[in-house]
Amino acid sequence: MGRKLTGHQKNSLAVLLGIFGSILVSFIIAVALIFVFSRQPLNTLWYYFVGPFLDSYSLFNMLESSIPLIFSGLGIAIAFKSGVTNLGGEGQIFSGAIVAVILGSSVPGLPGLAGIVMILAAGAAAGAALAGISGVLRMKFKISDLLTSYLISSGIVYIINYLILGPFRDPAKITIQSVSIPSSYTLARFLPPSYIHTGIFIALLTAGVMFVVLRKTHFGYELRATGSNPQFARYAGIDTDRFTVLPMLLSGGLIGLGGAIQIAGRTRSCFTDLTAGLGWNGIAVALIARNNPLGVIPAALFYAYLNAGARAAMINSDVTVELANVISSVIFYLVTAEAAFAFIRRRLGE
Amino acid sequence: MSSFHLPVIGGTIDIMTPFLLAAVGGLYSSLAGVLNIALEGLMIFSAFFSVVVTVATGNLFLGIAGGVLATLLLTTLFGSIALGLRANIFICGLATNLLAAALSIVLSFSFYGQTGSVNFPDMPVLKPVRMPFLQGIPVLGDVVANHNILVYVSWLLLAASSILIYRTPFGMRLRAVGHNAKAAFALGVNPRRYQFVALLISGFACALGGAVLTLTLGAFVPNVSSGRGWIALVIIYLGRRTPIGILIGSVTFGLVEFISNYLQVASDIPSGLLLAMPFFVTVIALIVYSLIESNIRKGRSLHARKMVVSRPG
Repeated sequence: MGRKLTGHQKNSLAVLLGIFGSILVSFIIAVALIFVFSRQPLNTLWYYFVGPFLDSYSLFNMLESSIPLIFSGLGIAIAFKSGVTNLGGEGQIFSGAIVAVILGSSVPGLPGLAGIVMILAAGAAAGAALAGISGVLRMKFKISDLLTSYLISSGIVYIINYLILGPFRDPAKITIQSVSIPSSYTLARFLPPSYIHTGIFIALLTAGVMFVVLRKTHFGYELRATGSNPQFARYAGIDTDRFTVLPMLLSGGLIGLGGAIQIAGRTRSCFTDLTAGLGWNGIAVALIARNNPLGVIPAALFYAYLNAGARAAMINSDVTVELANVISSVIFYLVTAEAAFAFIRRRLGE
Repeated sequence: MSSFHLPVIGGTIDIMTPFLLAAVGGLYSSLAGVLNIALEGLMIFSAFFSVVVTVATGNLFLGIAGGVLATLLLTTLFGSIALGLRANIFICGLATNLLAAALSIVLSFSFYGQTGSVNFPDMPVLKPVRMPFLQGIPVLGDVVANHNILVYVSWLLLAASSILIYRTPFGMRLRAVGHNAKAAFALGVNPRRYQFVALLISGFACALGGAVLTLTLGAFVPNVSSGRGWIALVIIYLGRRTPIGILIGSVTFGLVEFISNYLQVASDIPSGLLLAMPFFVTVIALIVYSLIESNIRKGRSLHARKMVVSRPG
């Protein structure tokens, strides 16, 4: 090799190797789990790992399912980077979705683009408001944001389910679902018959913007400083109270936006199990991405693959889709254990 | 006491039991300085396995033992990664919650072919057991003396804990580890070992809490704990990490859930709103607690200032 790696490059390389190592080990464990739980393991393995790539329809649908994951992953990454804890992803996605539905269906007359902007902004605002409450409670009353974000989200999920079953249910539909937004407010599907829609470009753009905001702006610097060492940040003159509430707003806003985009791009109406663990998977995505906004994109794709594989295996073989969550929890353990290992290695190396 | 109050007390006692068990368990890890957000998952794991073993053996005692054993295994996995490898305990806790919820559904599918609720009409369920010596308590005798066995176990566990934590060398070392792990280490106490034991105790208590949920029901329902493990964390905090505080907190949240259940039957308030109630009550309780705390603190510092001012010289 003609050129030596700098310390920083070495470090990033180690992080990358660690992440790929964890993912590789989790694949091995996935194979083992399939052999345990499936009576026709080879069939299951085939559909789990190859299923999402078998035809362009499956492939594009997998890409589509990464869109909400990118948003929830970004939201969680921002929270972790700033030292706040947001465990309310489920409620925030869901509230972003229901607010988009309610507003979109009750104000149907706007030109398409204005309508889309309106419902996306409203969804983001709803998510931001929910998470913001936890931020304010922590700033004003020193109440753990870990607890309140979870509690508020859990309560809200019940209320939104009630709205879907009751006041905003669409009586004309056989399945239980809410009223729909007008078709002029939907994001274009550019590769039919797959569900992939222009929301993916909004997702990629948002990830890019978040990367720039975190790395290149004064705001991002203060946010990261508060996150990595709040005491030092306070001495340095940063208003750390502000950086308890702002990251929460931003985090919830991104996640709520993901919910609204799910409505505008995919479902047009709200279902009772719309979130289906998206909030929790966002944490896993942020973890794999090491809270890097650009890293969230491949991490979300990986997660979408994991879930698409489980869906394909469920349809064509004899396992249930929750198998993906078992594998996901294994990844949680591995990624965090790997970080601990890396820390110990560094300590030994010194 | 009017006849209306008695069923309220009896019902609250039944409903508060999972809260009480999870909170007593979480108390140990909390006192040892371990953030255990996996109470929820540990309960769900046992809720599932106690049903599986009860259905397989037809024996409730073995069922409870099976739930406890499975949950202790999961706790060991959690503890080994979080404490043994010194990984991020918050993430490990999330992983444990996710694993418990997902694995119970995957196994339920492979055992019973279903991913939703599974009913077992022939399975033995926990029934109220009369305790003659409690019957003698004036007025309350009837409502106190007629509960399932795990309710009494939860009281025993609470009483035993207040002795174990405050009156034994083990309890004192445990609290020392939580208070200042380095100092405890300097005095020859191995903090990790005490934290691991604390986690195992919390796994044990959560297992009983999970078992009471499904073994009284005769069915396994995915996500049966529905947030109780998280509310237990709040109960520990609001109860100032004391056994008596935990008892008060569990009674309060038991009563809230009782009212929510009662209104679902007796009023036309939509059940979705009533199911949300315990969560919002919990948040409000946290706010009220914090307001009272800060008032006391202000009062104290005001008092202290007066003392300084009134000192002659």
